[in-house]
Amino acid sequence: MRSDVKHKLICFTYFTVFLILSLLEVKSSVPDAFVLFTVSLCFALSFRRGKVYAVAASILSIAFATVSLMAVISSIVLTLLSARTIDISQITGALIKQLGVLGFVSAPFLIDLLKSWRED
Amino acid sequence: MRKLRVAMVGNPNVGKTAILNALTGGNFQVGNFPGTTVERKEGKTTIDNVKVEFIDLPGIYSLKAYSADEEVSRKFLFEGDYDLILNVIDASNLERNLYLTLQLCSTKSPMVIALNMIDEAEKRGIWVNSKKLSEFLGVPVVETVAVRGEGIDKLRKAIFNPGKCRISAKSREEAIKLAEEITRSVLKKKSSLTCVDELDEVFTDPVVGMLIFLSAMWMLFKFTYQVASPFVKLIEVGVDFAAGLIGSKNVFYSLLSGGVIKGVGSVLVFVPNIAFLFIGLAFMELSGYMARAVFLMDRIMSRLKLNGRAAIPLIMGFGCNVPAVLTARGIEDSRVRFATILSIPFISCSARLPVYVLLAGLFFPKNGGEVLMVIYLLSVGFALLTAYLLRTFVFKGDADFVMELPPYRIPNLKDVFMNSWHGLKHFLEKAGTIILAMSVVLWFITNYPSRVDSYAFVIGDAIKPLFSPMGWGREVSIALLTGLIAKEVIVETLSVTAQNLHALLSPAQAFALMVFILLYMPCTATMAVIKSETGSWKWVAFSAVYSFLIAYVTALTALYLLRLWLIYGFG
Repeated sequence: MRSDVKHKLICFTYFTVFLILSLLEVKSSVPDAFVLFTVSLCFALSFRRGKVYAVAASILSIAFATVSLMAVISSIVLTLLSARTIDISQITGALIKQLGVLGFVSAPFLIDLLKSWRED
Repeated sequence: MRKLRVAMVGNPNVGKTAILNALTGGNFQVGNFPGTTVERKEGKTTIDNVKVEFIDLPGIYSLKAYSADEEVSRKFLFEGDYDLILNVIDASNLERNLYLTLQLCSTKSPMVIALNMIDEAEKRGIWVNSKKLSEFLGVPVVETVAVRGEGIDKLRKAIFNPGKCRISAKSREEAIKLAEEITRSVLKKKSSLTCVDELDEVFTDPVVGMLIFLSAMWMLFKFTYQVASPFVKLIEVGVDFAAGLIGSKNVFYSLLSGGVIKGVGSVLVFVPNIAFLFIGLAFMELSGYMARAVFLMDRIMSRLKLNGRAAIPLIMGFGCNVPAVLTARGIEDSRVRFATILSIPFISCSARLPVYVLLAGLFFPKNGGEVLMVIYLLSVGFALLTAYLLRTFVFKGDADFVMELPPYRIPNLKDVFMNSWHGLKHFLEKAGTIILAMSVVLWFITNYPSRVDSYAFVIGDAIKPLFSPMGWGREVSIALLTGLIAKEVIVETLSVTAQNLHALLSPAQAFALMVFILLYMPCTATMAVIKSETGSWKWVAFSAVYSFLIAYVTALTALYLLRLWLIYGFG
């Protein structure tokens, strides 16, 4: 597959996924939904304005996924400290979700970014 | 023992403080932001039985001073007591740095050059022939990477064998021409615009850049509020355990547990939130993103008759208003500087964060982050509005600004923690001094002559009528009064005077209180630096009266709006 077609295909996938995530998140947290919307917008703009927008979207989404993961871990620790009963399946689900998002967002563009940093 | 005094001079953001730390083993605050050093710093070390004193001067582009911090450097170079100059040069920006070097040559002082950040220059496809540069200038040139300690031993030896410049420039034009010629002969460049360089296109875009900036701000709040919460809980448990262990068998034990431990503990409990805020801010600054945020803000700032440079102290104000007012020295234009200084008290410093966290946690447990964000947006809004009004009606006139964007860097964790520690240390010092003293005073006025009829309640009753439109009682009134000493004391006062805040405040009243605390009068330390930086008590009085009026009107408006919203908004 030609690299520009591959780039557009990946960007389209990411744009769609982040837009859906953003819409789903509106109910629980408007600021979180706003961040996800910004990420999806950056992926959409990378269609016309170039790969650098996808790189920026990746940095933003990785940062966001990392902070969210830390927030989930914190809430688990807080529950433990408050000596409340813990629902293991709920915790596992939340952790898997966060790790999944982190893995998903960091996959292709992070590799590109690291490569470019090493080459620079 | 022999003594040697070394003046460290260079352009802003070339790593002078990092070199000072590497040479002396010090832990001065470093940054990836022009204007991190606003006052001269001194570091001492002993090399080969010689006591060496390094004087780190604020960054300058030329010997002509435009701003107050540049004047500090210029004055020291012409009138100060030093034996040699250590000129720090950024290898990636050789030509511009040499322009200053050639001017320094005209002082006829012995000199050594540290060609710093050669690793970053090479990454950007820039190679500098340091040997040839040394031959051209007639002074030793040592290649360094200060953050990794590379070349520091050579630099230590070189300061004992400085050289005097072979060439110097008589005029500005000659300096520019010479710098250009030298650069051409010692520098090799492979033109390469990297992917990382291109990121500026996105981060400084007026629309997308602003969306990213707001996203970054939200992530910072999430990091500060949610991620720090287990550490807050741990300290809470520790304080309760310690107070319970001591008990209140007699007056002394009661003072120790109820006054000192509970009082200081009620403030210490917010250390994790503040530490996480500083870590987030340090990460943004050291990565180079903060400078892009400032650049982005310049567009907005110029509409408000400020410039991008004003954004630096305003953003720093989120940590503490005191250093923020001092950082405003970096603003060349005195009218913009004064407007910025008088707007800074509206920026919500970290000392106010414990109050928001306490009230948001108690009254808005499900929307704490959102409430915090609204408070911070109000803070920025009022600061910018004040600056605009001051620039329109008091400090009139145009003001231009030029700023250099630092390179993007993966932040060094040691620097992130060091910078955060500098901010946190300031807070802890206050906890150990002012707050400890206030704890004892508060314990006394809340326990004597008796708990039910204490001095605190007498004072609270006296000022309570002032806050009656908001429905705040004497407990809140006394807390607001003690908050003038240091904002952190508000939490401590509330914890001592009020047993149950839910019984004293409704959610709307609690929100109005947060708004009032955000905006009302600067603390005593901030007022003191406003006096020292503006040189007049007139501006201190203006700041106190103006902010009190704004706080009063806004809190009252917020109270009634929120009441209406709670009644009609939720049916």
